Amino acid sequence: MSTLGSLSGQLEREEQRLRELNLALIALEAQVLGHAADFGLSEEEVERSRQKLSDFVVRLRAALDQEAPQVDFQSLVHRMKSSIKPIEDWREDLDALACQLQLKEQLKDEVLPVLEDILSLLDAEFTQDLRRLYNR
Amino acid sequence: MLEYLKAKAADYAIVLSWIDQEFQDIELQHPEHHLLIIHLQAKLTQAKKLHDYLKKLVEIGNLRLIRRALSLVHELEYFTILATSHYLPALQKEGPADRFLRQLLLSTMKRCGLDWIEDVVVHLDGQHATVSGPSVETPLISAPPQHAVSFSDMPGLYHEFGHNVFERFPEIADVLSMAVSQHFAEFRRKAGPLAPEQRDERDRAINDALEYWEIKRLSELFCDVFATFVCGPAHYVSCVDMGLRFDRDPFQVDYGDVHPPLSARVYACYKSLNPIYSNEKMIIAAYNAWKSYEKAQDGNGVFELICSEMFLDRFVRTATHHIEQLLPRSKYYSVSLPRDKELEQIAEDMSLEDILNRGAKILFTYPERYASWEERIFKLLKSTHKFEFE
Amino acid sequence: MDPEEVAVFVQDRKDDLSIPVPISRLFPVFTTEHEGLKNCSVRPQMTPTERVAAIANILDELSSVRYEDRQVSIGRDYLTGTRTVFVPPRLEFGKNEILSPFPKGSPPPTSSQLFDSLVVKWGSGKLPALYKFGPYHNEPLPDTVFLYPGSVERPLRETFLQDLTQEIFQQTGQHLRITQQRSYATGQPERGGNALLRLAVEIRSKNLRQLALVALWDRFAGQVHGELKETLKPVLSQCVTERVVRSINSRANPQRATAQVRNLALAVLTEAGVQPWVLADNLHHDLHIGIDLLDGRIGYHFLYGPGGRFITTQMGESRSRGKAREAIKKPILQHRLEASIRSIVQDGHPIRSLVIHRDGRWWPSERQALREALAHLQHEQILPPDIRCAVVEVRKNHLPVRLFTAVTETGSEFLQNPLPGTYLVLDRQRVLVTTTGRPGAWDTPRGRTAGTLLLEIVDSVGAVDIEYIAEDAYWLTHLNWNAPDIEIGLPVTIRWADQALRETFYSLKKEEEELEDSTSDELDDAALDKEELDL
Repeated sequence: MSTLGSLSGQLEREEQRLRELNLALIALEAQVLGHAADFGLSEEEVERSRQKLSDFVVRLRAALDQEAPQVDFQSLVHRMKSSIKPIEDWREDLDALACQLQLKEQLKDEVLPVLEDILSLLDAEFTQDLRRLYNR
Repeated sequence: MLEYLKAKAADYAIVLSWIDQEFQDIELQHPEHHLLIIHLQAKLTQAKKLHDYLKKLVEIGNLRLIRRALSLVHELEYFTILATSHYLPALQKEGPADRFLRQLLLSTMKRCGLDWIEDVVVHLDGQHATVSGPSVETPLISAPPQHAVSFSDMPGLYHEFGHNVFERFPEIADVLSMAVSQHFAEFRRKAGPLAPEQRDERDRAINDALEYWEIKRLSELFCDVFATFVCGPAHYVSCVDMGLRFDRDPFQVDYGDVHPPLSARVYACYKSLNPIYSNEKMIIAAYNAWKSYEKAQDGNGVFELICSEMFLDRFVRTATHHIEQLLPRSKYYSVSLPRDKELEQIAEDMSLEDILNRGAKILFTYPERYASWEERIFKLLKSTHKFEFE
Repeated sequence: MDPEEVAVFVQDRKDDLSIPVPISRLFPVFTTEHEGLKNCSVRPQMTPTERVAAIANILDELSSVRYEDRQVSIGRDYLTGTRTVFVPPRLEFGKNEILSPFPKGSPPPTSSQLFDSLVVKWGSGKLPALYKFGPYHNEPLPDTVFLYPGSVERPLRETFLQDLTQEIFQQTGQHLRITQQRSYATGQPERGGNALLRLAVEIRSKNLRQLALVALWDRFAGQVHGELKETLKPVLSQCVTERVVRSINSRANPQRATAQVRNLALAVLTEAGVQPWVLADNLHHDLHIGIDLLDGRIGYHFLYGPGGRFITTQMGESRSRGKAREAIKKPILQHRLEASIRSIVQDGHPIRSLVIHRDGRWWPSERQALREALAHLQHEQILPPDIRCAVVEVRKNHLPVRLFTAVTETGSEFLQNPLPGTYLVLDRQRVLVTTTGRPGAWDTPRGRTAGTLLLEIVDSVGAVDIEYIAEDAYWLTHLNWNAPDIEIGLPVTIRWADQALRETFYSLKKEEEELEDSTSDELDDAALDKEELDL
C-alpha cells in the first residue's frame, strides 16, 4: 500500500494554501515596491490579499497558544516550535504582524520578513512532501 | 538565482505547452474523460497563472520579489509531476483492462456513497494508490495489474476510496483530530501519584503521541475503517493478509511512515466490522492467525501508549459515526454470507463487495474450488462491463 | 528487686549472648514501632478486654491520689454511647463496575451485626473485584528492565518473573514486557551498591520512559535503596529484596508467597500509574491537600475531581541555611498552593471547599501562606468569595483514648475492637477515627487493640464540619492499592506523601517486613480461625 493517497490529499491542501499566501504576499510586496500594476493587480485585489494574510496570521497566532492546534495548523506550529527562533519571539512578531495587517497602510519593512519566514516554513513542508511524491 | 529562474521560466513554458497539447489530444481520443480533462485544464490554468507570475518576477528582477520565486517553482513542479508522472501516463496508456476496472469502480464508488465522483482514471501499474490532485470528483486510482483477472488484494481499493472521502470532507480530519486530543487530554489527567519528574516524562510521551497522530496518519487509519465499513469481512481478511505477508513488526511505531502500526490497523478493521460477522469462520480464522502472530512478537511501551485499545475504539466510533452522517448513501456492509453451494452461485446483480466477500469465504472454506469460481465471476463481470480483450 | 520479677532476655547484637534483665529495669528503645512490635519479647499489644482490665487496675492504684487537699475520685467505668460509624465508600473499578458495601440498597442499621459483617466482607472484596473487573485506570506499562544481583540463580529469576508477569496479567490484562535483564556485582566491596548505581545511570541514559524492576541484594547498606531511586528518576522503578524473590520462589509458605507476589505486582502497577480503583462518589470537599515533611523535603499531594480521583504530586524543600526546617516558609507554601490550585481550577475543576491534611504541626508561617494564597486566588476569581477551607493536623500519637464496640451476647457485654470507620466527635475541632482494625479477629487471646487517629482542625476559613472532614479522611484510607487486604491508618493524602519522602531514607527491607507482618497477621488469623473451626 503506497503513501500516495494520504500524501496527494495533503499536498493538494498545502499547495493551495501556499499558492494563496504566496500570491497574496507578492501582491503586498509588489504594492510596497510600486509594481502592483505590473502584475495587473487592482487596489481591491491587493486589499483582498492583505485580508487573506491577516486572517491566516490571526489563526496561526491563536494556534500557537493551543495545546492541540487545529489539524491544518499542527504541522506548521510544530515546525515553528522546533525552529531556532523561540516561540515567545514568534508570538511577539505575529502580534505585531497582525496589527500591521489590520491597518490599511503599507506594510513596514520589519514585519515583511516574518511573513516571509512563515511562508518559508510552509514551503519547506510542501517540498518535503513533494519529494516523496517524486521519489515514489 | 535570477539566471536560474529565467531558465526555469523558459523550461516551464515548454512543459506547460506540451501538457496543454496532451490534454487536448486526450479529450479528443477519450471523450469519456471529458470531466476529468476539464478539471486538469483548470489546474493547468492555475499553473499558467503561476508561470506568468514567475515570468513577471524575473522580468522585474527586484531581489525582494525574487525571494517569492522559488515557492512558485515548487508549486509549478507539483503540477508538472501530477500531470506528467501520474495523470498523463494513466490516460495515455489506458487499456482495456484499465477501462474495465474503471467501469467496475465507478459503480462501486457510487454504491459506497461517493456520489460526487464524476470520473475515475484507473492505472493498473503497481501498488494501490490514489491521487485526487485536480479534484476529488476525478481521482486517479492505481492498482496491481492482476486486478484484470484476479480478486487478490482487491479489497485494498476500498482503502483508496477512503482517501477520496477524507479529502472530500475536511471535517473528518477535524473530528478525528479532536478525538485524539480529547483522548489524550483525559488520559493525561489520570494516573496515580507520580513524582513530578515522572509525570513530566509521561507528559512528554503523551505529547509525542499527539504529534504522531498527524493528519496523514489519521487519514490512513480512517481509510482502513471506511474500507471495512463498506466492504465488510473481505477487507478485514485482506488487512490481516497484508500484515502477515510482509512480516514486519506489527507493533513498530515508525515516525517515518504515514501508516500506523499494523496491529493498530488490524484492530481498527476488526472493530469496524459489523458484529454479525464475529462468528463467521473466515473471520475467526483470520483473527486467530493474527493473534498468534502478535503473540510471537514482543510489543513495546510506545505502541501501548500511542495505539491503546481505548484510543482505537474511540477513533473507530468517531469515524463510523461520521461516515454514516456524511455519506448517507453508504451502507454498513451486513449481507449474510451464504453457505455451501449457495456460496458459489453467481448472480448478475451482485455488487463487488458481495463478490469479494464470497470470494474470501470460498478461499477459506473451499480453496480448491476458488480458481474456477473466480474465472466464472470474471467472465460475468467482463461481459457486464463490456470488457474486450485486445 | 523483687525476686519474682519477670526477666526479659535481651541481646545487643544478632550474634551476641542473650542475658536476662529484670523487666522493671528495662525501657525498650526501638527505632520504629514495627521493630518494637516484632522484636520485643514483652508483648505490647492487648485485646480490648485485657486493656480495659489493665487500665482498671491502674486506676485502682490511683485511688489514694490527692490533688491539693481533695481526694481524687476516678470512675472505673468507660464512657458509652451510641456507636457512630461511617459507611465505607463505594469503589469504582474498570468497566465502570462498582464495589458497594451494601449492594442490595440502603445500609442496615449501624447497630446491627449485619452492618458489621457486610462492611468486613466489602473490605475483603477489593482484590476479587480487581481480578474480575480490572483497574479503573489501566495505564499502559512501559518496557521494563530487570536488574538483579549475580547471586540470584537463573531458575529462580525465571520463576520469579513468570509469577510476577502472570499476576500482573491477572490484575490488569497487561503483559509485563521485560526488554532487558542485567545483573550487577555483589560482595563485600559492593555493600554500598556502586555496581548497581552505575548500572542505574546507564539504564537511565538510554531511555527515560521505562520501568526498572530491581531485585536488591540482601546485604546492601540501608541507604542503597534511596540512592537507587534518586539515581533512576525519572525512570519509574520498583524494588524488591532478594529475600522476597526467594520467598516467592520457595513455595515453603504458599499463602505468604501468593500475598508477596500479589503485593509486588500492585506496587509495580501503581508505580507505573495504574489506578486499581477510585472512590465512586464525591467527597464532601472539592480538594484535599496532603502536606508532609521529612528531613527538609516537602511532599504535597493534591486530590480533586470525583472522589479525589485526579492526583498531582509535588515536591519541595524546607531548608534554611542548610538546615531542615519543620515549618514551611510562607513564600514557598504560598507559591505552591497558588500555582497548584490555579492549575486545578483552570483544568476545569472548580473548588468551593478544600481541606489540608498536615502530617505534623501547622505553623504560623504556613497559616499566613494559606491566608494570602486564598486571598490572591479569590482576587483572581480562581476561588469563590465564600471558599471554605480547613487545615487538619492528623496524628497517630495523641490522647490516650481508645474506641471499642460494646457487644451484648447471651446476656453479657464484652468489648470488641471497633469497626473501621468508627468515630467519636470530641468537640467542634477534634474527632477520633478508627481507620484500621479487625473486630473479632483481633479480639482473640493473641489479639490487639486498634489505634485511632486524632484529626484536629487547627485553622479554618468559613463554616467547616468536623464530621464531614473525618468522613472524607476515612474514605481516603480506602485507596490502599499496595495492600488491599490491609487497612491503612492514614488517609492517602498523607500516606503517599510520606511514602514518597521516606523512600529516599527508608530501608526497603523494613518496609517489606512491615507489610508481611501485617499480611501474616491476617494469615495467622486465618489459620487461627481455621483451628477454631477444626476444634
